[in-house]
Amino acid sequence: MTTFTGDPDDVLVQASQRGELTSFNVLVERYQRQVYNVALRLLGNPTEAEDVTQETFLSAFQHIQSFRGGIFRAWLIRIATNACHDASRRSMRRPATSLDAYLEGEAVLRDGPRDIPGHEIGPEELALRQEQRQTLAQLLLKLPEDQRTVLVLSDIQELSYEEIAQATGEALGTVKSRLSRARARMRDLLLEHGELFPQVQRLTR
Amino acid sequence: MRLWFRKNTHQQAREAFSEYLDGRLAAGMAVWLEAHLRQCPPCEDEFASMRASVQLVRMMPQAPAPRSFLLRPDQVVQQVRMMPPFWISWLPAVRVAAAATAALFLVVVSVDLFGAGGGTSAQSTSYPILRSQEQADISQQEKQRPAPAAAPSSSQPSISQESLQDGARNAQGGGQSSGAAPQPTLEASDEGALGMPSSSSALRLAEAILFAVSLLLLACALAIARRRQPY
Repeated sequence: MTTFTGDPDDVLVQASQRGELTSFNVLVERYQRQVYNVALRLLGNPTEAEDVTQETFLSAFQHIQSFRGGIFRAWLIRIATNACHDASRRSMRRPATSLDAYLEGEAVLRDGPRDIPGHEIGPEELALRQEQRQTLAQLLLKLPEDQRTVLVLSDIQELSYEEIAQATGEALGTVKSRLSRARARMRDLLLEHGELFPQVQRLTR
Repeated sequence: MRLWFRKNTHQQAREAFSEYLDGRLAAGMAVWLEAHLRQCPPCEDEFASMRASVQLVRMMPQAPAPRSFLLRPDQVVQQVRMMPPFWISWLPAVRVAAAATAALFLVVVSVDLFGAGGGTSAQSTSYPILRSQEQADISQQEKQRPAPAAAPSSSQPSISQESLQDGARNAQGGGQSSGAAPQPTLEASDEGALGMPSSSSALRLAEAILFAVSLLLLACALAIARRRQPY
């Protein structure tokens, strides 16, 4: 028996469990950007991220009966991260993924909602930001897979510790310590690229 | 000793940075960390660089979805068919019921074959068979029967005969035709001849019913298992 906990998605999930595709598609619309971004940051390849996103929603609809309550978003992201791990294992068996494809994917990123509205950005600053983002995304890929996953879910997708625990199937304590290690590692990687990230470097002696 | 303590303190502080940044550090621990950062410039620098690093990562923009991922009916038509109907969960019960009915059928057949002959020699062979088959039988109603049926020594024909009749009656599973079975009031001198015709027709009826039911249950179990295959 599915137990629901007041998640705003509950009604749509229940309808989806009765096989209503229209209701499920409302959930797809709600989360497709987030699932795609999780996949993009975990895999670093837009084409693979797109495939994984489609695969995630198909699989989620197929197995919606096995959703036994909790946070639907975390359950969905768990399917996505598992699909990403499978995809990265598959691509490890293939020749190296194209860096061009990856950079092309980064180039289509537009300024997100987190940029300060009304703040005019000059062409130089824009170029610097673009370069920073590309480097950041590449550095992210240097983290071990488990650390990258918690970092992406926490700092890019803004999931709570509890949601990350559900999405990764790990204990809360493990999530906290893994995130701490991931952030420390990311900081060290950024320090190695001090020229691009003066805001990180200038604070260290 | 003091150096060891200091090292541990710094280590503790560094491990607390991440949770502190998320506002998830316990209140007492947060007060301790703030006090430590005020008096420890290296830790303070390290904390500042981690905060700047986390802020940078948090500023990473979200890419727009490259296309719509809405599912089309033709994409999921197979999935919908594959969704388990509620009766899929009945499979174990149907399997057990099929096995139980089949076992019961075998019991009735063996009673019919070996028991209906009425001879003392036949009884001595039929009871062990009955007992062994019924051990495999999950049906509760049948479980109670073999002990009293097999317990009496076969050296006393009157008791054995009575037990046989009793067994035959019970083998109908408390079914509809129990009234047709002869009462176990037969004398030893009757040698079972009087009750035989009605008893054997009742057995035939029970065999037919049990055979049909077990076939039906077997077919159901196979059908459910086939539907469950995609999972």
